[in-house]
Amino acid sequence: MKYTIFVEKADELKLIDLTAVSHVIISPLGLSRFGKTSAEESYVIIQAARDLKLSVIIEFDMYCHESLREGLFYSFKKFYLEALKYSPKELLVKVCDLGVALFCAQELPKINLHLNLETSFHNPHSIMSLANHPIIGPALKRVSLSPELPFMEVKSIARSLHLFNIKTDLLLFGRLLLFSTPRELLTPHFEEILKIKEDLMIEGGSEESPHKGFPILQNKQGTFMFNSKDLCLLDIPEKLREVGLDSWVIDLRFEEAEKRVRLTNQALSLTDIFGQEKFLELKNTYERPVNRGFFLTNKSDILLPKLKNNRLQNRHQLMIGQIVDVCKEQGRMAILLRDPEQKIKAPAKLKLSSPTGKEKDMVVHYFEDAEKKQLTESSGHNLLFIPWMSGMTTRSNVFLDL
Amino acid sequence: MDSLEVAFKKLPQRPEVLAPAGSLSKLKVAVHYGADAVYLGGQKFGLRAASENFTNSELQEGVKYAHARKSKVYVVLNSFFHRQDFEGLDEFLTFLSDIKVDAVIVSDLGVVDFISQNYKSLVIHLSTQASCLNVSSALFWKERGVKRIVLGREVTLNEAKIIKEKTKLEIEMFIHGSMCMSYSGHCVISNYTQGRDSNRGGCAHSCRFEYKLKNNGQEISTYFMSSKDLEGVDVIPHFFDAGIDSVKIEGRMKGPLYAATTTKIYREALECYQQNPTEFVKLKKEKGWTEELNKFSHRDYTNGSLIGPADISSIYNKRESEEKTFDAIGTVLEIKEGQYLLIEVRNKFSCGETLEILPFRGKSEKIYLDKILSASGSEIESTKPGSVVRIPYVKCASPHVILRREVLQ
Repeated sequence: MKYTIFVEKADELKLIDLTAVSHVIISPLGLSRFGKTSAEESYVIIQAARDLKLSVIIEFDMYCHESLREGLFYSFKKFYLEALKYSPKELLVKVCDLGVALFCAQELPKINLHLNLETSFHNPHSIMSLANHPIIGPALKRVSLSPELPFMEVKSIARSLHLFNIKTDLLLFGRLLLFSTPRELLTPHFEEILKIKEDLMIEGGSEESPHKGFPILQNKQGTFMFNSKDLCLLDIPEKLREVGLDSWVIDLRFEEAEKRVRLTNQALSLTDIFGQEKFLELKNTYERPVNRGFFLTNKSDILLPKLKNNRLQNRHQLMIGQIVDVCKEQGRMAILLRDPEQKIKAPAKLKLSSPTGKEKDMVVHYFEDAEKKQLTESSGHNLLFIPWMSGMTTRSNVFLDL
Repeated sequence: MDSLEVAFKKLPQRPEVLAPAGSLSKLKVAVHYGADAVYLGGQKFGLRAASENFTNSELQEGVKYAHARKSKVYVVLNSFFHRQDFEGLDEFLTFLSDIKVDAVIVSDLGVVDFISQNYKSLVIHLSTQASCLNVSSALFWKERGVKRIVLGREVTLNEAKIIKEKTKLEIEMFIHGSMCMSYSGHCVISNYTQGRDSNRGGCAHSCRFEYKLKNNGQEISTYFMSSKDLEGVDVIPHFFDAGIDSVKIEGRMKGPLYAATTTKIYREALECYQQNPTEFVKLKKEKGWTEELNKFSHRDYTNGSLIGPADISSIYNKRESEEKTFDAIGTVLEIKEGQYLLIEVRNKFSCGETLEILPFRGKSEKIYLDKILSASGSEIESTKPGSVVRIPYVKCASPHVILRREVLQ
């Protein structure tokens, strides 16, 4: 198995055991949502990676608003063409926005695209459609799959993409982004701090949510919220081997450099030979809570069918209406018809079902309108009167019994 | 060409008013109050899993009803599909094609491709969930067979104008209603915190919660992620200038009073601007459009990102409340000329109260209730929600108009 790691400075590469590392992620300032690395430092990392025979992934993962498009593409092109001069082993450009992907593939035909599909597309049809795209497809070399996908789905999609010679990766250890907006949500509360600092990372929690301790970041690109528990799949090494991905991503970009290096080494060591003790040591160093996300089971796949309100969703096609008035003195009840255009003919066999669950059958030989005129069929009526029946109250449902 | 024809030709194209239809009855309300088109969801594939939605027979009836009144029907299939979610899609698309819906609203690339390849008669609109923010992205979708783009809510009208000009696609933008704070389609808070996939109809509205923000010992309680509601009456001239084809009103989960008022006001305001742009500001004041939009429950309003990127004033930062000045009372079902109005009751009302009729066009009218009869004709003092009653006849009423009542503060 091969691994992809994140670095902010070239020096970090000297301190990491790179035996199993194949790719390095760089997050350039002004091109990436979380970018902090200057262009100059990025080029230094690219050179260092080249010397160490590592491929480089440049993040160009901002959502590209139209008013920023030309400027952003200009900056990227300049950065990218300069980066190529350092002859990296392989240079991949990781994008989120499909417009950015299309632009890159059109303007820079030799570019190696890396699509970030962590949110958005989760099914093989969509992903294969990108692989088959006449412009994006030939440039597409790698895809980051969604951490929401369960094991079997990851395995299946990875296998399909291999047929197109497209590599796949998945987050192994790092933060899960839950939400992002271009709006500056922390400014109203931390205005003074944000006047001095460009970035602010705080913690948030809600009594209304079952979880607490969500890291929230505001930077020049907007506001980002991460899960309270970070993803860590290091303790299921057999599954990682079995799934058949090309690379696993260790992305500890929000840690201080020294701690990031230490943790990256600890994680890489666990992938080499797993040990429970080493795993606990890593968790102690990391301090933040971790879990396995949806990798073994996607909980929303289980809960989704339960969200469907059966009472509302499985409505009987033969329901003609609901009782809205019961007048025992007049010996009749009014049905508000669901579809006034539907013709209901007498004699009719009806089934009535009260809100308390009582059910009764009746045969109606004629209907009445509001003026007590007898009718043999309804025609454009909203209300139709039928004989009174004990036990049936307002809001009882009325069905045609065929 | 005669002078009348010349004058007609000069009128700018009015954007379509696209209203929410959370149920068949709301579809009828929206159509009568002036919706050029409505959008609705079937039992699956949309983003409102727990709501009522339409059965196939209701969908069929809804399409028939809307088409008979020259309104269009768009059906949402805008969840982000997982592999298993494709089950039943083919069958549903065949049904939609057979009943001749006017378009389907889709987010997922796999679904767009499936429709483009197999259902040539179905027109595809790209949902706002796909967060299309730029010309390149719009061109990507155009090449996949999409005819209209519902732009991301972060797009300004100036940006929309450029996207329209450069892609020649139909452009739809939100003009009113609740807003996601996140880039649409990319928020997974509900997924990880509650196991409810927000991009498959399970959104738990976590952005509306109160949060405690902690930084260096400082702790602040706030609704920092809750967005104000979008309101676009003031910027209608910019919608015309940008050449926007359709303005969308959010709110399939909201009640008939909301659907009726928003549809009526935006239709009226757009028509006024189309016919008399120089008088728009004056007419807006005279007709009280903004006041009318305050008569149902809503959060504080903002222009969002319509004019410029949404700033901190677009954050609601309050607990949800039911502040409103009017209640929905019921809908007129039938009229017995000169005798009575048959009303489907939504909220209880009693004899001696004054209600208001919200006609399809023009000003609302007050109606004093000196008598209420049950559906069977017996005199009653007050009504029950869900019942049908008769109230005194008034001339300005017609079937499907909404009755409302001022809430005494």
